[in-house]
Amino acid sequence: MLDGERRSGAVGWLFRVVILLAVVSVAAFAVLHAVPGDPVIIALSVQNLPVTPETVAALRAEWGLDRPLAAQYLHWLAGFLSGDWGVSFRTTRPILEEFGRRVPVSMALGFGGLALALVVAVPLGFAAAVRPGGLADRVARAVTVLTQAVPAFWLGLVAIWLFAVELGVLQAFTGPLSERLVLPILIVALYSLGSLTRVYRAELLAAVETPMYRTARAKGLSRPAAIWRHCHRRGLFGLLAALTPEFGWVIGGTAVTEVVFGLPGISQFLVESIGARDYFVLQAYIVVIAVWMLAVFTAADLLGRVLDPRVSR
Amino acid sequence: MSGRSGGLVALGLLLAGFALASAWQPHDPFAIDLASRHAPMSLDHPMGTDHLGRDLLSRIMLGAGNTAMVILIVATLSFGLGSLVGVTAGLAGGVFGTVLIRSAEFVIAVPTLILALTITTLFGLSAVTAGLALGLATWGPYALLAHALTLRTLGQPHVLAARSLGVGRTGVAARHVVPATADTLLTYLASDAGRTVVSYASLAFLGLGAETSQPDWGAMLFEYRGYVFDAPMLLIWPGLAITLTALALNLALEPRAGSSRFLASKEA
Amino acid sequence: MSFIVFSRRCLLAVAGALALLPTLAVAQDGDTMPIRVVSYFAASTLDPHPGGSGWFLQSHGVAETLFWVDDDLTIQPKLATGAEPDGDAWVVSLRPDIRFSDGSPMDAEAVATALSSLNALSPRATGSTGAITATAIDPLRVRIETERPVPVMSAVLAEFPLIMFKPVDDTWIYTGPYVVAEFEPSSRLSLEPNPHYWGQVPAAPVDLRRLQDPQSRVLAIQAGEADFSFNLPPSSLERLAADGLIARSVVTTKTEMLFMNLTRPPLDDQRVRQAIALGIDREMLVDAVGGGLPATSLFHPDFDFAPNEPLPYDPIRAAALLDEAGWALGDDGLRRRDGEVMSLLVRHTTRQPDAITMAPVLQAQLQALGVQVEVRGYESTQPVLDAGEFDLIYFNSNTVPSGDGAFILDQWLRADGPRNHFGYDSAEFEDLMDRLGETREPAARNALLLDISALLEEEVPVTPLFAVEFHMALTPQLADYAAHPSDYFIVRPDMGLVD
Repeated sequence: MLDGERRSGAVGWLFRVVILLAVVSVAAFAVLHAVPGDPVIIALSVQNLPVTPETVAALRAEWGLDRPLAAQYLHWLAGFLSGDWGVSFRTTRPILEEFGRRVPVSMALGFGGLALALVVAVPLGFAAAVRPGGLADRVARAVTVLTQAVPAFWLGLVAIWLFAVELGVLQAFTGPLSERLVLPILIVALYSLGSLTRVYRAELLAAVETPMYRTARAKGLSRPAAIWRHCHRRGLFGLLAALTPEFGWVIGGTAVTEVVFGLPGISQFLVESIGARDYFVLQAYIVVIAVWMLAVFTAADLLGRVLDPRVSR
Repeated sequence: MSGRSGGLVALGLLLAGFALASAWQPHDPFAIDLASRHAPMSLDHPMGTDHLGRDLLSRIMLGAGNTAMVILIVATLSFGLGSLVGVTAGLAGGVFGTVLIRSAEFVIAVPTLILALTITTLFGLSAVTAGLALGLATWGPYALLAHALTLRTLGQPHVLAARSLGVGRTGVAARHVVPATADTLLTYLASDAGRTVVSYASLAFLGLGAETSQPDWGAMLFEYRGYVFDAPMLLIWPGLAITLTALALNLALEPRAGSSRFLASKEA
Repeated sequence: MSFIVFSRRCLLAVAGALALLPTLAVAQDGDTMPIRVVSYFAASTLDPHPGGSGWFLQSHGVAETLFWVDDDLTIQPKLATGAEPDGDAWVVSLRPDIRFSDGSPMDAEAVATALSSLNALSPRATGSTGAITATAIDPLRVRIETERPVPVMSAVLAEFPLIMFKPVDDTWIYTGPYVVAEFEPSSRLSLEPNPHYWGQVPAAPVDLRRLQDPQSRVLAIQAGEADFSFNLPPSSLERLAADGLIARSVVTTKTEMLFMNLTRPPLDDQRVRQAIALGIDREMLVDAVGGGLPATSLFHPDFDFAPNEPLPYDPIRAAALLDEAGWALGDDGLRRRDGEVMSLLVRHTTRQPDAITMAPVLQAQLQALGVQVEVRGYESTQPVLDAGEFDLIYFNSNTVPSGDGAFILDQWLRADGPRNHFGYDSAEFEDLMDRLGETREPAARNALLLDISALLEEEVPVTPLFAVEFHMALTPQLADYAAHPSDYFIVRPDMGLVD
C-alpha cells in the first residue's frame, strides 16, 4: 500500500515535470521570437558584413529561421530531445558543447559561493541571535548593507586591484582556473551571506519565543545551548526555504562576476547570446534551468519533510 | 506592530527627504562644464563634479526620486504579489494551491536576465521598466517563503485549535497567518530593497542598459562604472546614498529585538 | 595616427623593467616567454567560413587575405602581387613564396579552392560581389569572375571574410605569422610562430586572452599579467603611464555618425538638417569622450578619398537656417513653428561607454539651438531603426572595412540600400553612386567620393561626428609595436623584444 502510494506519487511528479517543461519551452519559444531584433541582421551588422537580400535569405535558411514558427519549434524539440541542441548563431559551435564547457565553470563559481556563504552564515547568524545587537549581529548587518549598496562589478574590480595588483598574491586572469576562481567565489559568497544570515537569525529569534525554548531555559540551559537545541532546526528550515530560490542563479546568474574576471562560464555567454538574439541558446538555457529548478524544489521538498514532519500536502 | 512605529516615522522622513531632494538642487544637474570636470569636493560642489563637470550632489538629489520609484515598484510587485500568491496558496491548498505554487516556481525558473531583456526591449529602458522587470522576476521567492510560513502557521497547535473551534479561513488568515508571515517577509524585503537598485545597475552593466538621461542612483553607478579607479568618488557617492537608504529601510522594516512575535503572543 | 607616450616621467620604472627583461624573457627550458595579449574578442572557431571568422583570425595573426589595407590606409597586395581586369572578370597574380603553415605552397589551385569553398559555404563572405567563380590559370594566376561587376577587385579581396586557408583533416590551416597551438573557444588562444611564414618569422609565441570588461583589461596589465592590453578607457592611460607602461592611442577607421530621420518633421527639411550639422561642436564631443578626431567626412581623414577640412561648427549660421525654415526662437529659448515646439528624439546604444558619455553633451548642444531634446538609450540598434523611432540616432561603424569608400554608402544611404532606414532618396546621390560603380580608375573614384562627401554635407542624411580612437597599453619590451588604425590587425608578426 505504501509502495503503491509512492508509485502514484512518482507518476504524478513525472506528469507535472512533463507539463511544466512543455509549458516552459513553448512559452520561451513564443516570447523569444516576440522580442524585437533579428539575429540575422544583428550578426551581419556586428561583423560589418553586407546586408543584402541574398546574405539575409541564405543565413535565415542556414539557421532554419525561414520556416513557420510551429515547424521551427517542433524541429527544435525533436533535436533537443535527441541531444542535438543546434548551433549557436554567434559562435557557430554546437550549443550542447558550449553548455558542457561553460556550465561546470558557472556551477563551480555558484556552488562554491553558496557553500562558503552557508558555512559562514550559520555561525554568524547563530551568534547574532544569541546576542541581538552584539558584534556578530552588527557584522552581519554591515555585510548586508555593503552588498546592497555595492555593485558586484565594483567589488570585483576592487578585489582584483587589491589582491592581484597591489598585494600581488594571486593571478586573477592568467593563473590556473582554481586560482582564478578564488576571488569570484569570495564575491559571490559575500552577496549571499547577508540575506542568509539574516533569515537564519530571524528564524532563531522567532523560535526563542516558543514554550519549548522557555522550558529549556527554565530548566537552566544557557541561552546558546537552548537556542542550539530547540531553535536550530527551525532556523535550518527557514534557511532552506530562503536557500531554495538562491539555487536559481547558480547556473546562469553570475554574469557580472564572470565578465569582470573573464571566466568562460555560461552566464556571460547568455548575456552575449541575448544581445545577438541567439534564440536556440536561450531556448536551451530556459529548459535546462527549468529542469534544474524542478530538481532543486523536489530536493528541498523532501528535505523539508525530513526537517519538519508537520508539513505535509 | 507597535515596535515598528519608530521605523515608520523614519520611513516617512526618508520619503519626504527624497521628495524635497528631487524637487530642488543647488545646481542644474544637467549643466555641462568640461573645463571643470572631476573637480574635487568644495563648498560650491560638496561632492565634486563628474566626468562632464556636472555637479554630483545635484545629480544625486535629482536621482533620489527615480531611485525611490525603482525600489517602490520592485517592492510592491515582489512583496505584494509574492505574499498574496503564497498565503492564498497555503490557505487554499488542493489543486488551486498547487497551481499557484507551481506558477511561482515557474517564475523562479525563468531567468531574471531573460525576463529583464523581454521587458526592456518591449517597453524601452528606464527606471520604471527596470523596476517592472526586477519586480516580476523576484516575486517567486517571496511566494514560496510566504507559502512555507503559512503552512507552518496552519500546523501550529493554537491555529489548529482555533480552526477546530470553528474560526473560518479568513479569520485564521487575518488573525494568525498574515501577522506570522509578515515579519519574516518584511525582513527579507528590507534586505532586498537596496539590492534592487544595485541589481538594476548590474543589469545595465551587462548591456541591458539604464536610462542615464534621467539619473537615478543605479543608472549613475552604471554611467560612472569606467571611473572605479580614476575618479572613485563618482561611484562612492551614489553607493553611499544607496547604503544610507538601505540602512534606513532596514531599521524601519526590521522588527526590534524583543518585539519579534512570530507565532508566540497568543500562547503567552 | 597619433602616438602618445606618457612614460617619460617614469624613466626609472621603465629602466627597472628593462633591466629585468633578460630574466623574464627566457623560461627555464630555454623557450621564449610568450607575449601576453589581452583583447576584447577571441575567435570562437578556427573555421574560416562563418562571417566574423576572417576578422578574428586575421586580427589574431593567424590568417591573411590576398590584399589588405595597410597602416597608412592604402590598399596593398599581401599574398597577391596584383589584380588586372580581364573583361568583366579579374586576373589575380600571386606571390610565389607563400606557404601554408604545414609547408605546402599556396598556389593558384589552393586560392581557387579556398574562394570556391567560401563562395559555397559562406554567403556572408561574398555579400559585396554575389557568387564568385575562381579558376587557376597557371600556378601563380587565378581568374575571378563575379556575379555583380566589381570596380575594384583589390578592395574585395581585402575584405576579411576572404582569408586564404587549406582544410586539413578536420581543421583548417592558414598562411599567417602564427599558428594556433592551443584553443579555448571565445576565451584564449595560444599562438606559436609559423616556421613557414613568408615574412620574418615572429620572435616569440603569443598568449591571447579575452577580457570583456575594459577595467579588467586595465587591471590585467597593471597586475603584470599582460604585456599588451587593447581597447582601454582613455581615463586610465595616465595612470598606466605612471606605472611605467607605454600608453598609446590610434585613430581608427571607425566613425561615429549621427543619422537623421528624413521621413518626418522637422528633419524632412534640409535646412533643419544643415542647422543640426552646423550646431554640433565636434571638438567638444571629442574632448568629452577623451579621444578621437573631429570628422571631415564619413571616412578616416587619411584616406585619399576623404576631405581634409573638419566639418564646420557654426551655431550662428545654424540659427539663421532654423529662422529661415520658419522655426522662430521664443522667449523661453525654444523654437516654434505654427505654435509647435521643435523637439527631437535622440537615440543611442547603451552598450558603449562613449555613446553614453556623448549623450548629454549632444543634448546640450542641440538645446543651445533652441530644440527640445529627449534622449533615450536602447539595447539593440536594429529594432529602433526598423520601427523608425528616432529623429536622430548615432552609432559607430568601420566605414571602410576593405579600403573602398563605396561600402557604407551602398549599405546605408542608397535609396534601395538594405540599411537605409532614414528615408534618404536623392537623385543626385544615386547618379554619383551609379558612376562610382562603373569607375575603375583610382583617381576618378577618389574624385567621385569627394563629390559624394560634399553632397552629403549639403543634403545631410547623416552627419559624421568623429573618428573613433582606440587606446592601448604595452610593456616597454613592446615599445616598437605599430598599431593598425583598426581592430583588424592586433597580433602582428613584428611584435617582439626590443633588440
